[in-house]
Amino acid sequence: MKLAEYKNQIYSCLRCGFCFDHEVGSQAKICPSHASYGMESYGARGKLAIARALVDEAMEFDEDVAERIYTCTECGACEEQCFKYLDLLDIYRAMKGELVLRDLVPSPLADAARAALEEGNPYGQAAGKRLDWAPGRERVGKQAETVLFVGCTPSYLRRGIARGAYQLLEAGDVEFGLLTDEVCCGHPSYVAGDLEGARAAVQKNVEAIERAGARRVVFACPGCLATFRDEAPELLGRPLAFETLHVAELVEQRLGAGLRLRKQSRMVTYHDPCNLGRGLGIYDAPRRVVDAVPGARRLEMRRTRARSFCCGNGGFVRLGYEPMAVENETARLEEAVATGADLLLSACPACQIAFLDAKRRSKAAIEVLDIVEWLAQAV
Amino acid sequence: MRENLTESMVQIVGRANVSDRLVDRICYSRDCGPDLAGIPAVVVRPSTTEEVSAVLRWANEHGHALYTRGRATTFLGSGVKEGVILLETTRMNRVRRIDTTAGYVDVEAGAIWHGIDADLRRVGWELAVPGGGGLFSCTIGGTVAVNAIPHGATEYGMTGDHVLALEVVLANGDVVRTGSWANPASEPIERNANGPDFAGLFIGSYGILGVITRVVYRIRRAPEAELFRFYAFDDYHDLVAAAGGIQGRGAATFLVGLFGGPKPDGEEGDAFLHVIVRDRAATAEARGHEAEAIAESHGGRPRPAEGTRHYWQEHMYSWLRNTGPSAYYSDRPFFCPEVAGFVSTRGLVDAVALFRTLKAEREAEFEQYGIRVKGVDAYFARNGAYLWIDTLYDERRKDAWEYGMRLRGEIAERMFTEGRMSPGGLGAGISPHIFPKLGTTNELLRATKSMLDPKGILNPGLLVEEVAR
Repeated sequence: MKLAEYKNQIYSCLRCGFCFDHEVGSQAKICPSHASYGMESYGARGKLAIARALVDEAMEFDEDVAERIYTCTECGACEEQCFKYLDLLDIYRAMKGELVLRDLVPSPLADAARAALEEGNPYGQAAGKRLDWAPGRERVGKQAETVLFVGCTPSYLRRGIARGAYQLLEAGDVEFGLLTDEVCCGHPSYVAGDLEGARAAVQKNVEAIERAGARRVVFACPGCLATFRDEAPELLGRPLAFETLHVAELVEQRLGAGLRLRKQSRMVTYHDPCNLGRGLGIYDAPRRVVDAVPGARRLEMRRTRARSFCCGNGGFVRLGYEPMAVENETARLEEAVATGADLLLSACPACQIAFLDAKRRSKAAIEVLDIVEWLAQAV
Repeated sequence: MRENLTESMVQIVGRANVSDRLVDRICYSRDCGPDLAGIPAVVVRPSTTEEVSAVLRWANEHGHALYTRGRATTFLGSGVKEGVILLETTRMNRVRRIDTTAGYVDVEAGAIWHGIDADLRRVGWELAVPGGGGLFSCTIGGTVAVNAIPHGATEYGMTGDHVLALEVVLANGDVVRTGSWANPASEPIERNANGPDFAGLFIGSYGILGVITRVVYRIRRAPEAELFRFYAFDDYHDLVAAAGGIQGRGAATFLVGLFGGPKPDGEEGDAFLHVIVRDRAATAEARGHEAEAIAESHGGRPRPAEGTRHYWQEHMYSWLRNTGPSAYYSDRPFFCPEVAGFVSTRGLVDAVALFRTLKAEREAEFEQYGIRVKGVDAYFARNGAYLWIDTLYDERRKDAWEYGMRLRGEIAERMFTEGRMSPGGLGAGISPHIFPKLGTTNELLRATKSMLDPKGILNPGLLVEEVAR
C-alpha cells in the first residue's frame, strides 16, 4: 500500500510515547534505533510524525528520512506497545516502498537485496556452494513430504545450524528432502521495501517446494519462516499449499512421538528472536524443548517474550549501521549474562552472529549457540 | 544564524545530541493534544545539569527563546514556537538514589515515571503518587513542572505535594536547590526548610521560571492489598453524595466518577463510580466495606469491577469504560481538546449540570462537526474533585479541528466562571482562558517571570504573554 493509504492510522497516533519504553520498567528503551540514536525521529512516535509530515506534504522523502526508516530493525516492539494498536511495521514498509521508488535505499542493503535476487543469496556467495555443509547428497532433490528450507545464513555463514537442523530431522525420523534450487527467501528485498523483488524470490522457492511435492516445510531461520508464513500468501495472492514451521516446533512435535534428548547440564537463557516471537507469536515451543532437555535449567532475561529486546541486528541494519547494531547486541548480551546462565540460545542465525560478535568483544564467558545446534548435540 | 546556534549547542552537548535537521525537528512540535505548534530551530539533548546550565546561559546571552520538553505527554498544548531551541531532558534519566530510610528517591528530571516506579517496586516501594498524571510515559521533571493531576488523588493528593526538593537551572544559567537541599551540609529530606518554599514556585510553573533538572520525591511502601469496586447510579447527584461520604471517611484511595460520555460496556445508569482501595490487607478490607456501605446507602448498585482493576493495574489511562479501545474512540483519528479543573465536591453537581446544559445547547453543532464526548469524569481529590471534560474531534477535518478548539474555549470560559472550576492543567491551550481572570495573582506571576527571566527566553508565551526580545 502507498503511504497515503495509511493516513487514518498515521493521524491516529496519540503521541503518547508508550512505544519508547512502556511497561518495560527502569529507563530501558524498547526500540533499538531510538536507544542508540536518541532523537525521537528514530522511534515510532517520531517516525509517525515524519509519516504525517510526508502525507501532508510538509516535507519530502530524502536521505534523512531513509536513514530513520532503514535503521529500524523491524523488531516490532513499538507495535507491541502501541496504545492505539497501530500497524506500525506496515506503515514503515509503506515508507520503504516510497523510498525504493526514489532510489533512496541505503546502498549496502540495496546491494544485498540485489545479490539475493541475482545470485540467490545476499552474501555474494556462489550458488554451487550452497549445499556444501550437507553430510551427503542423498537428500538433495529428494521427493518427500517434508522439505528442510535451510536459508542463506545457515547455508553459508552458520553451517552448524544447517547441519544441526539436518541431524534433528534425521533423529526425529522425519522423511525429508533438500531443494536442489533453493534461493534466498526474499527477506532482504522485503526489508528493503522492494516487494516485486520479494515476490520474485518467493515465487521461485514456492514453485521449487511444490515441485518437490512437499506438504510441510521446516525452517531454521525465522526470517525465512516469517517470509513464507506471513508475507508469501499476500505477495503471491494465494495461500501456500504446505505447512510451515520452525525446527524448534518440529522438535517439540517429535518429542511427543518419542524423540529422546540426552542430558545437558547447563544453565540456559533463551533470547526470543523478533521474527519468531513478536512476529509469529512462537514463544513457547523453543522454551518447551529447552525444558525437555534433561539437566537443563532455563533462566529468563529481564526483558522477555513479547517484551524481549531485539539483538539489534534485525532488518539487515548491520550492513549500514554497524555501531548501532554493536551497541544493542552488547546490551542484550549483558542482559543474558546477568541471568547467571552459562549458555545463551537464540533461534535465529542473525541473532547468533550478533551475540557471538558481542561475546568476542566483551570476552564474556557465556557460550552462544543457536537452539538448533544445541539440540543437535543432545540427540 | 542557525549554523552559529547549532555549533554553539554542539560545543556544549556534543554533535550526536544536537540536530537542526528537519526530520528531527518536526518530531518536537506538538504534544498529545490538539494544539498546533511551531517547529524548533534546533533540538538539544543535554545529559547533565552543567550542560543545561551552559545551554541556558548561551540562550540568555543571545536572547534566544528556549522550550523545555520531557516526553511531551501533556494534552494541553506544549506551546513550542517556531525557531526556538528545544531542550529535551530524557538523557538525564538516572535514578541517583533510593533511600528507603528517609523515604525518598533522587532522580534526574528526564527519568520516566513508570520506570522509576519499576525500580522502586523491585525493592517493595513506589512513588508517593501513582501514574504521574494522565500518561505515565511522562518524565518526572515534566510532571512536576506541570503539576499533573495524579491517579490516587483521593488519598494521596497532588503530584506537587510529594516533592521534597528540586534542582532548578534559572534562565541565566545559575543552579539552585530548594528546601533542606539548599544547604550543602544537609540532605534533601524536607521541603519546608531554609525559608520560603521555593520548590512550590517551580511546581506547576510549566518551565517558565526555570528548568527542573533533578527531583527528590517522596516514596512509600507498596501496599499489601488492592481492592476494586464499581457502582452504577441512576442519578449523578447520588454518586456525588456517595463520593463525598467516602471522601469524608477516608475510605478509599481513589474515586473516579463518570458523568458523561459513553456508558461503560454493558452498564445502565446515569453515572458510575470506580472505587479503589490500597492499604495493608486487613485495613483495606475494612475500608472497602465502609466504602461499599456508603455507596450502597446512596443508591449505588454494585457492578462487576474487572474494568476498575484493569484500569488501575493494566493501563491507568482512559479506559474507564471498557478494557480496550472501543469503536466509539478508535474508528477514526481523534484528538481531545480537553478542559479540566478543580471544583468542590459540592460544586461538582452544578459543574456537571452546566456541561450537560452546554452540550444540549450544541447538539446540532456536535452533529455537524462530528464531535463526541469521550468522558465527563472526575478524579476525586482530598477535598473536592478534578473534573475532566473530554470532547473528541476528527483530526482529519479542518473544520472539526477549528470547531473543537473554539468549543474548548467556550467550555473553559463557562466552566471557569459559572462552573466555578479552577484549572490544574494549563498549557498553551488553557492558560489564556484563566490568567486574565486572576487579577493581582496574574500580576504576581508576571512580576516573578520578569524577575527570574528578564529576557523572557523560557517557554515564551506559555502562561504569561511573550515579551519582545
